[in-house]
Amino acid sequence: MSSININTGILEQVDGSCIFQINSTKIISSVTGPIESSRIKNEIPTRAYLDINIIPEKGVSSTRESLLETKLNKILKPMINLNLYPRQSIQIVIQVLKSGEFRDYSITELSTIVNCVYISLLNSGISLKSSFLSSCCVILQNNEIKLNPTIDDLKSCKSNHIAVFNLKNAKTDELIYCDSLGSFSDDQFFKVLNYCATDIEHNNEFIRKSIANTIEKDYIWKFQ
Amino acid sequence: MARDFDISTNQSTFVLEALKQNIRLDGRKLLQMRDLDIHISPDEYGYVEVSLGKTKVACRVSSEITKPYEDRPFEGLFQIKSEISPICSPFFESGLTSNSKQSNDELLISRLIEKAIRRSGALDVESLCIIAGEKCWSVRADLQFLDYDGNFTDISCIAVIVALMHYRKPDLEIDGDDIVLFNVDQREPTPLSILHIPICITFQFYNPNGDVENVKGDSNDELILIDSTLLEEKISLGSMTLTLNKNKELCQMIKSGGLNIDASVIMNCCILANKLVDELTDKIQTLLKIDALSRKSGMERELQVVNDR
Repeated sequence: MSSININTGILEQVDGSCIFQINSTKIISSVTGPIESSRIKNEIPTRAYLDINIIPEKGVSSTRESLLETKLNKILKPMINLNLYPRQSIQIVIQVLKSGEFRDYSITELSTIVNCVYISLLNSGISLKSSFLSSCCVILQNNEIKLNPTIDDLKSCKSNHIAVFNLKNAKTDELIYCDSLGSFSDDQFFKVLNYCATDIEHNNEFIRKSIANTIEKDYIWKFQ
Repeated sequence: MARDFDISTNQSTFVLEALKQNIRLDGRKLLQMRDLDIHISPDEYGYVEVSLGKTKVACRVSSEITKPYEDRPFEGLFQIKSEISPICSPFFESGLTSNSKQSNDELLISRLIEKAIRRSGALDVESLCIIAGEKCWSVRADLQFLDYDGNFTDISCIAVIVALMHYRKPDLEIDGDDIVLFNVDQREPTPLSILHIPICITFQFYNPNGDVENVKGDSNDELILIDSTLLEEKISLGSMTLTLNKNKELCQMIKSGGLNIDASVIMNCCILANKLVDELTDKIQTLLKIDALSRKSGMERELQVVNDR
């Protein structure tokens, strides 16, 4: 089984932060906002501007990080109540501490980033429309579906998939985003989505617990 | 956000007044460092997380084989990336903006580290050469600034040098023109050759009577403190960075502007820095030793290509 490690509210200068570690992938993210937009062109009259920055584990940002930023933007836009913060911007910075995969792949990184940013957003108190979590998996050569793939799995797999679901009453509700690479059949794809949904529900239990713990600690003054 | 960190007059007078009485907001003495915490990643080589109070920095060292520069065929490549992202404070802007405050800070820090580690010859770049003029190792250290509470220079210098000392590059064999690289499982990877351990100590100077007094007056009662927090750094009237190693060699000294400081005071700073550097070096070396012991199994010791000296 996968080992998840969550640490929230560790950074002092930002509004929300989280370190999310799953297996050998470790991500730290920060959320600041709503703040004044630094550039006039980022001031959108009706909603907040999402300023997303992904910094790679080593080297400088490349097209790979830009692609990840676009994907993340697509996932986050419908999930945040952006129209509550007109002309402001929400700054989200993601630093990959341990990638856990080769640069040719990005699924484990993206799914960890989504989970990490979700917790950071909760920590920052930004209004969300719904909870959402992500999971990724691969279809191996023997048509077996494996969640949380390792480096070797990714190298030898037939196809890799990532799915983001929103959650309602601790159950997965709608599919928000999915991305697949490789060859697979219709049946396999739906099976993959089911697998991911179950995995998300399973992880959600743990994540909820750790979020509840943090909130309890934050409000310790209230109960004394 | 392009705006700078604002401090009210009340706040700065309060801090200064406390400093005059030899008290700092976090309860330290003026010449006392915060607790240095170094976390070495147990499952890989060359990744460390260092924190000094609330300031946090991570550093990752990686290497690859490339062609050396044509004018330096016998030397490998070594570069340090130090880009400050808004993760550590929203006052730092992301991306490259030419005249913002960040690019100045960033430039200063990267220059300082560059001088402290690269130009002081801490890493033996000639040992990175594989085939002269054709192939060499390119080592890069990626600094990741995570949380900002002052004193980025000292902590990033420590992070880079610890990561470099901890990093192991894969072992290789030269067979004619071919290079055979060995997996970590096949052969124990080799450490980089580090010639000395430079450590930066930054001093902040304050004058309790204002900076005019310092130029015109006779009294030289400047307040000196090390390992400043963000607040202390912002109200400081001048700073000086010394880089030393355990052999009492001064690798660099930077004092760009600020208060005028007497030579004798600087000498005192050097003596103090030397004591601190000794302590820090010992701490780093014991940590690395503990880490090395925890990694070694009997099998690995046998396969090791580097002799214990």
